[in-house]
Amino acid sequence: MIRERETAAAVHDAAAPSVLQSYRSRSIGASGSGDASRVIYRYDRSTRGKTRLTKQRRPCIPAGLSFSFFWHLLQQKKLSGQIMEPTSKQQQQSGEHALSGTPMVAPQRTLIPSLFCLYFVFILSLFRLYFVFISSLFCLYSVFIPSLFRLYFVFILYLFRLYFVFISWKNYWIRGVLSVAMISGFFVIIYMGPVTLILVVMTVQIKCFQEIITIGYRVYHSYELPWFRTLSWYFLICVNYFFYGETVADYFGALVQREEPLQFLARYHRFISFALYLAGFCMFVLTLVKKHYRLQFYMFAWTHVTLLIVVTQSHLVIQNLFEGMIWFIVPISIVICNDIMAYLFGFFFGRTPLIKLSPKKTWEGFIGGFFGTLVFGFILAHLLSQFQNFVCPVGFNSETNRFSVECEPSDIFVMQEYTLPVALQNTLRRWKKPCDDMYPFQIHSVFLSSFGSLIGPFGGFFASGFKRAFKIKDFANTIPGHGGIMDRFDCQYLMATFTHVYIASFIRGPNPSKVLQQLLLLHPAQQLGIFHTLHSHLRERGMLPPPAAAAQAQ
Amino acid sequence: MTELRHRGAKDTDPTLQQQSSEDKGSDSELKGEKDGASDSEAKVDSGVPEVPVPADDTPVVLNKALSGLSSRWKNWWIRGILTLAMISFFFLIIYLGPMVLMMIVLIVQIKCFQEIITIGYNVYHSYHLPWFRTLSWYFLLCVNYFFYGETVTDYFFTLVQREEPLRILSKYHRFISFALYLTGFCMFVLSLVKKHYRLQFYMFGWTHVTLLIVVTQSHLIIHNLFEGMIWFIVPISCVICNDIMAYMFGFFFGRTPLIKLSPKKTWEGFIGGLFSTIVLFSSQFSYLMAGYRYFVCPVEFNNDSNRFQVDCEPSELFQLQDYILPGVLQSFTGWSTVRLYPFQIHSIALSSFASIVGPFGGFFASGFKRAFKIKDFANTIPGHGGIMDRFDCQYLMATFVNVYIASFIRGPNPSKVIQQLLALRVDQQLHIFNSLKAHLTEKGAVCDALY
Repeated sequence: MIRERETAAAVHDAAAPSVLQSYRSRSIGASGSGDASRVIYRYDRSTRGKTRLTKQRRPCIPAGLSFSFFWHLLQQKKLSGQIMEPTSKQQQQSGEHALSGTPMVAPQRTLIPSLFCLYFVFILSLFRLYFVFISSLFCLYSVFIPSLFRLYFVFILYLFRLYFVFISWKNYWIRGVLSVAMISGFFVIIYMGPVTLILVVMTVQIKCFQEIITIGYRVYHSYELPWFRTLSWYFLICVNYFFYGETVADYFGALVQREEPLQFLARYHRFISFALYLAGFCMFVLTLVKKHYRLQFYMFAWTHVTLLIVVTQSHLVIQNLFEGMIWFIVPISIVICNDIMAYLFGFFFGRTPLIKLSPKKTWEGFIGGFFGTLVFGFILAHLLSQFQNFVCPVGFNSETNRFSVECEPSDIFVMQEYTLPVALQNTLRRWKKPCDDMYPFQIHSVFLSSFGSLIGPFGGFFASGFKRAFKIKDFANTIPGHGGIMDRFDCQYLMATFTHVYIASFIRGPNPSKVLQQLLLLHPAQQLGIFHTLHSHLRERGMLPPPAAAAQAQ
Repeated sequence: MTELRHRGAKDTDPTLQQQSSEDKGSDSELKGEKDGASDSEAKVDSGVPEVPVPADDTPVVLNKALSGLSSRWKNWWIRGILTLAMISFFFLIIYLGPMVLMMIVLIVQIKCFQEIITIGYNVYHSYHLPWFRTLSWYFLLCVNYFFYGETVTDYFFTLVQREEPLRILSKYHRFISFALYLTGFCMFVLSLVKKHYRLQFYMFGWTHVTLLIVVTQSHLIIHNLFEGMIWFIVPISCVICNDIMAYMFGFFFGRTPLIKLSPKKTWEGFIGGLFSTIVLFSSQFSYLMAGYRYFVCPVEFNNDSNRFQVDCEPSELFQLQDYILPGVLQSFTGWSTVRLYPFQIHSIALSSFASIVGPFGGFFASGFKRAFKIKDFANTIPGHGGIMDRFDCQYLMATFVNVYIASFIRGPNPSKVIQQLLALRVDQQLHIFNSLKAHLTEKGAVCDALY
């Protein structure tokens, strides 16, 4: 395999790092050797080895420049109090704002972050075009974080630089470095809060969708079909609009009620999304070209299955997130930990192969990963349940227009006494660990871990089978050493769906604001009926004083 | 057909090139594949074996009766007779009531699913893939269980609460359906066979897209049905009427072709069908239907008699109201006001959708048939093709009606709201109770002092 890579590299571009070699050597029909029985690529957009500023990327410079300038101005205005109003009179008097200590800020405080943003955006734009988006995202929050994390960004920058120094990313060192980078990136994103998380989930979803659709194009050589790229992205936007609209209407109820256009959009949301989808459907029918019918139907079905898998499940991830960030962090960490543990156990003890689909997986790794993940999940749940920041449902505070995570933790995050079985108690006592108190959430985490270790790998096998079926080595080449984003997230999707179903079945009740909203939409007669039912129900529970006492109180 | 069966059993087939199942239309490159999977992308369409046209299986009775006519007229008569038979069958099952309607919808859905899956098997020669037929039907069962469980929980709330096993099933319904689906998913992964990976993934994708199209939309039909049988009858009749009228107008006046996909359709037929459905048919038909309580009332399950009942006070939508005609129409017809059901106005919207956007469902199905080189989906109905042929436009219509009802007409279901209320925590219930009390007091519906 290494020899193939080198010859391919020699043939194409000795100077350019061999970003594409995973595509070209093992993918559907490498074109390098000119073998007549192999497919020649029709398109070759991914000549990404070059670090020069190609024509496509030139707009990034003025884009990054204007972005940084705009950001600089915005920060100036915010800090001088023109945009954000003080939330209380006391603050007004003392001249303090949410952001900084002084109302008027010297320009130097924002100039350096803006220059940094510019540099960041510029450098990353050389590598991947969409990194502009990601780097802008990081810059958006760069002012809010302490300087330590700015060093982290510089570290990431140099990692990318380093990547281009190493030609063979199969080197375990670079793979390990990038694993560490991804995990610490995960922590940074969690630190930044729910909004960033939602944006990151959306970005990941779009990238996964793009990767799978690109594979479809390559399989069917349908890259030049008229309209089809537009239609695929259009369907993605429609389905996202539908899902995010439903979420927003639920959670941002108060905000939606205030604004008139939002109210209209929320009330007829389903109709509008359906109309948008229909427009796409009719466009598809109208673009059917005589000789390409089958291809077009295949791509249509491919797009829809991808939407079904990727978009609905990322939407479920966001709903889990709104339950409380712990429901987002713990499942993802469980899957990551299972991956790593299974890898380590397989590395040291692996002997019997697990499944023909993935010859590298072993039974020892599987079972070791299962137990390791159980313990890890248990400990992580214990660690995270203490913090209100993670445990509380994400709420939108309509006054400050920000997300707030403050609440009274629900029962499952309150320490309770459990009587463990005697054997377990003795073992734990020997290790001198306090064993009587547990969060109920830890028991839930045991179930989540077992699912993640036992059934989660099936998502990985599915993705492996998919890659074998279409003869690709990786979904894409976004992350050096690891393949595409879809490679990293294939097990996560099943886990996210399971977590959502688990929450809906065992933990969460319905959302009270949604129930109230539905109540207010009913007929007055029906409302009255429900009112009476609720009244008698509450009186039974003793929450309301009996009517005699109320009459007496008057 | 036997040829297809042999095909599936072989692994490496030197005659692969001739019996390709995929192609890219005009692309004529030859790509050999080492593993010899039966789905190589080889030559042009001519290599695709067509689904063999089954022998003429029109009933003997009809054949005898029409033996004197020429072939063209015979076909026309068979089609006509079967159209009448289908329409009268439709009226019969409406008469029989909601339960029978639900059964019929379920049967139609299963048949459509089977037709499309069979086409997939023929296209990919995958009839002998291990496990795959079982898995397709298993996924159909799972998704149906999920959807019907959600419906049953909503509408049969009291019945469910009474029986203990039903209560547990409904409380953990999502979890159980997800577990069932996951089992199917894991079985699929475990059944992946080395040389047939791509085929199996194709069939997996094919099954899921079919489920998405057929099953979710038949479920939406049942939802519409529960709103009131008129919401089931009127849309289906509009589509049928549009079909027939467009055919008639096209037959007599057709000249300019409408779309390359279906060369028999013409602009005259399209516009004629549009006009007659919207203006003539839908408002009259809905006027006829809206008078009867049997059609208009939401279908409810009576706990005492354990039967479906359709007995209620018709909502405002189905009560005659006076509308003032705009000036233009006043001068035209000489009436100043007209008595209409509000539902008739909604039915105009429904029928315009059926005439304008509904045919796109038909074009989609035509494109699908051309793409896979089949003349009809199956041969269930003599003269018409398979059940899917008849129902291709209905599915879009059903989705539209459901979205329409949810957006413009129906509020939430009160029993569902009560169910959700009782599942909340007590302090949340109290909060909602106070808000509701304030709201109702504002409206004057309750006296604050009493509560």
